[in-house]
Amino acid sequence: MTRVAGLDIGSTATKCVMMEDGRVIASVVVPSMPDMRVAAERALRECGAEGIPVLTTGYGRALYEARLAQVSEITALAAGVGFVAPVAATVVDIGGQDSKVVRVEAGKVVDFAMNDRCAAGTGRFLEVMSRVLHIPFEEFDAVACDEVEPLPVTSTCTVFAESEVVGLLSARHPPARILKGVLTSVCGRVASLGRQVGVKAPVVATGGTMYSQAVVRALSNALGVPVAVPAAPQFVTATGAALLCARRVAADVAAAAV
Amino acid sequence: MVADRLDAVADDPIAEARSRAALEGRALGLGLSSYFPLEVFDAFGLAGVRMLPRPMDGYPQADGVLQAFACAPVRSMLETLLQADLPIGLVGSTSGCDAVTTVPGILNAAMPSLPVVSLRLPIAVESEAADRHATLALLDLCRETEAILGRPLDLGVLETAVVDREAVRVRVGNLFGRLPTRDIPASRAYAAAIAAQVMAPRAFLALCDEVFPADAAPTGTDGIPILLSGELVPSVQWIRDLESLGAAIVSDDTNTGTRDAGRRVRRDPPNRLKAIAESLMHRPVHSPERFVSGRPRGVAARAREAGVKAAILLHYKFCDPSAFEAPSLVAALKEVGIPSLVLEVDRQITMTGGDRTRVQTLLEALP
Amino acid sequence: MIKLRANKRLQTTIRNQVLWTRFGSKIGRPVAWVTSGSPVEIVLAAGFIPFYPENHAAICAARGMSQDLAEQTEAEGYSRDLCSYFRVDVGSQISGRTPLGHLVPPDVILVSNNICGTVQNWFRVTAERFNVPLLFLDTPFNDAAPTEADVAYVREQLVHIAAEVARLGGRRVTEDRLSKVVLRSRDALELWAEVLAMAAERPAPFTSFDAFVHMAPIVSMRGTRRCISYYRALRDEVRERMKAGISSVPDERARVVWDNIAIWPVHKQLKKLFEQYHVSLVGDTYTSAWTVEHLEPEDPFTSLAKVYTDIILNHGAAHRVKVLSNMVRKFDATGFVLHSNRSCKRYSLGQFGVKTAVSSATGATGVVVEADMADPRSVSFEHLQQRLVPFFETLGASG
Ligand code: SF4
Ligand code: SF4
Repeated sequence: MTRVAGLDIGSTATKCVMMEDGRVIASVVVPSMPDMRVAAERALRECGAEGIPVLTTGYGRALYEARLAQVSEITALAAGVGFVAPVAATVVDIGGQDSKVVRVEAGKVVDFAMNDRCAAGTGRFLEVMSRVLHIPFEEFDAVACDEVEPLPVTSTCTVFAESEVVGLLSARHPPARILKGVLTSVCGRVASLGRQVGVKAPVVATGGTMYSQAVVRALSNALGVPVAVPAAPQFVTATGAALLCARRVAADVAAAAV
Repeated sequence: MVADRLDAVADDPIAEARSRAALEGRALGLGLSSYFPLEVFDAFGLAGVRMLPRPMDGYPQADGVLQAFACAPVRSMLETLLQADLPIGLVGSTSGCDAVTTVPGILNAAMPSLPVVSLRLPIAVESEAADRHATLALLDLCRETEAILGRPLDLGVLETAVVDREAVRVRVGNLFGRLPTRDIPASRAYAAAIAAQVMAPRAFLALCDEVFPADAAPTGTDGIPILLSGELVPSVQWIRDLESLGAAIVSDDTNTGTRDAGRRVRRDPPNRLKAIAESLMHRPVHSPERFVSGRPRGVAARAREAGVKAAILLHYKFCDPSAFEAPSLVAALKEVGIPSLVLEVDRQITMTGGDRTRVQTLLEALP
Repeated sequence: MIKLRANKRLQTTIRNQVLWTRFGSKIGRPVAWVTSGSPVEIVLAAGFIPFYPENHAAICAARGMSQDLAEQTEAEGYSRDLCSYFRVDVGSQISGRTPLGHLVPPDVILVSNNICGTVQNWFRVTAERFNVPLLFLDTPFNDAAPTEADVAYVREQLVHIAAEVARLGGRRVTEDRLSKVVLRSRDALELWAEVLAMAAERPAPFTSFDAFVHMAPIVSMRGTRRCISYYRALRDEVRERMKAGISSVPDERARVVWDNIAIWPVHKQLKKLFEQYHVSLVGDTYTSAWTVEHLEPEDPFTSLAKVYTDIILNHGAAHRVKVLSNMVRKFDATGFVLHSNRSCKRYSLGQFGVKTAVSSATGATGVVVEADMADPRSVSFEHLQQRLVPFFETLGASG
């Protein structure tokens, strides 16, 4: 009966999830730019979540002032995974600007590592390479299919890697093989991030990049364990925020009753 | 009001150094490392100040003489010097980590007219030979300084400077001693520690008397008790950012704070320079603990005693000494049940969005 | 191009050295892990078998194992910004993987900060891992040259180290024994210096690309007889080539010197690129670090103290300018390459100033290239090519 919302104000996209009695009843995604505050309001409106308790998370979590509370996106991600994939022991999230590996237990963070400094191992790296290779994200799966052998792309510095890829292209290597190499490189970086916390199966992957099966496969290979992707990988963090919001509301009600 | 003065100095220490030089009519003796004994510069008639990271967007000049894989403190130090807007009498460096050790050579090449002296302090510890050599190195430094400035070291001034500077360190140490009982917010203690590096010692002590009167009631802090370990804190604002996330630093292991304040110059030996040299060798970090896991254990034990719930290891990107120590420090803390977070900071003086997320997650994950 | 016969010999020599190390440790000879700048003569005189983790890391890198091993170390929480030799070597300790079959564990570790501060921490970590004593030689960083006080300070430590290694399972290190080892070191160092000096001939019969490979014995076997005979043979062969006018690079058109460690992940590709442009890499500050003079068997402790305090990485930028400028002149080079090696701060920080100073001192053209000696993730051959080709062309060389 009580409706709550989770609002994940990310650096590229803002996601809103509305829940009622422990079920997701609506979700929307809108671009965060150019104004995160406006994006937050728009997401709430489009989700039909105006006027209900909202818990914010994500890069712009402090920008929406009418919130009930705010938590970090890692805390929210863990909570969300606890809901959509309760068996998961590790979550890997490759976002547009950063990537995270979080060890979770019952929706709580046990340990985490996050990379937000170097583009390698994030969606940004994929974006740059997709541009250089002239292969849009939507075509990744069709191009980087199983039969294609990856060509190693060893540099992780984006600038170096870009010239490496240009070099491979000018040596007339097939773009499909280079793309596979790029995916292997990104996921390799994420895997080494994962080693800092210890990747424990079962592993769940989230974030917009996971809409590509080619990325998921490369990630499984890099981690050496199968990776499961929940139905709406982009909304897990917002879902977690909504859950935490519901919990807050319940706690407040209980406190008021006492 | 007086509190504002402390914050003003701490928020822009370089500006304070500049106005101090103008006020005292003396050129600055800039110490580049916290292992450089400023009392010696005082005794040569310079205004001894420590070079600290300075808020800046980038390092346009430094980038021309130094690759990007040096830590932010070194890059910002070079940038400040290359901007050449300070009345510098002499720059003093101390050999130490690989980055700092290369600085005098870089400066000589980039600014041949800027006089630089370096203290070639031994690294070896707990050996009489090293102590002896440290004294000789300090003597060399004095000789070189005398040759450059054309005036001798004033032993009378040295006496006073040693006593005053020690009083400053004791005062700063006392402030940090009040963190476990949460008498004062940590940001105040760091503000004092930073101001102490650039203000004239007596002016600093007088300001402290006003800002922290002996009979003041504790201002108190809340927040989750944490340990902060690392080299230099980027700014007082950085500490305030940390506090605004709900953390209360109750245990310090930074060069800005207790590591520097812990230096003591022995009073008994007749040779003052020898006592200064030895005080540098026997600082908490420059000790045998540095070479065995003893140091991490000591830090962990102190943190536990202070009731710390989590630890933040503040590391500059490309800082080798911290990077080498991190895993053993993390392990030692874990052994006593304290989870830790390594925060790698670069040139940002305030906390980045990513670091806020990390800190917040750490605090939210605590039971 | 005619390959050096010594290439084969090098392989056998290294293989024998590995076998000998393994055998020696099996029959109970104590093993000392040492840095490349350690006074190995002392541990040799004490009857220890030395092992060189830095050299080991270079071998791992040349065999393409470095990324894998480095990642093992990074997984333990060590930053990717730390020296890649450290990450590779410790990765090998963690995983047990090594091109040498297996590692012989140390009984003692000897480290000196004359090459960098990194090794001090690296070897401390290693000493803790193996739970063995760590002996540390503190060599004050030089202003100009080691002072008398510096030498006395270092000498005192050397005497102490000699006593310690004897106590830790070695023989007593008498001056006599030490002199003998020092003499053998000196002979090898002189032969190596002779080899490198021949690159001054036109065309150069031997280049730094050869030297980067053939330096292995001088680093890890100096002080032994086998080392001397290896370099005698190498010297003779290079001399033959010189007399026969055999060029290392076909049709030499430009001569260049190099600063810093080799770039192992693309060593062969780089060598090819230089050949393709007919550019001889005639000298470098790295392999020539093992050509020290003044190693005297009389009063060996004092001589070792001087020599090991005076090495190139224990000096600042001004000294590097001098060394490089001399090298440019001696080898009649018109250009120089500064490898800005992300891993090695001591070797690299400040190279921009060095470049300007060497250029104005010698008139030679310099170029700075960004790379890493062992971590392929920080190396881009394309980047190197983009920098080097225009540089070669400036020197009048073309492909
Ligand atoms: S931050 Fe680290 S690397 Fe930089 S000067 Fe300080 S100790 Fe050296
Ligand atoms: S490469 Fe440089 S930093 Fe690494 S061990 Fe050698 S000298 Fe030290």
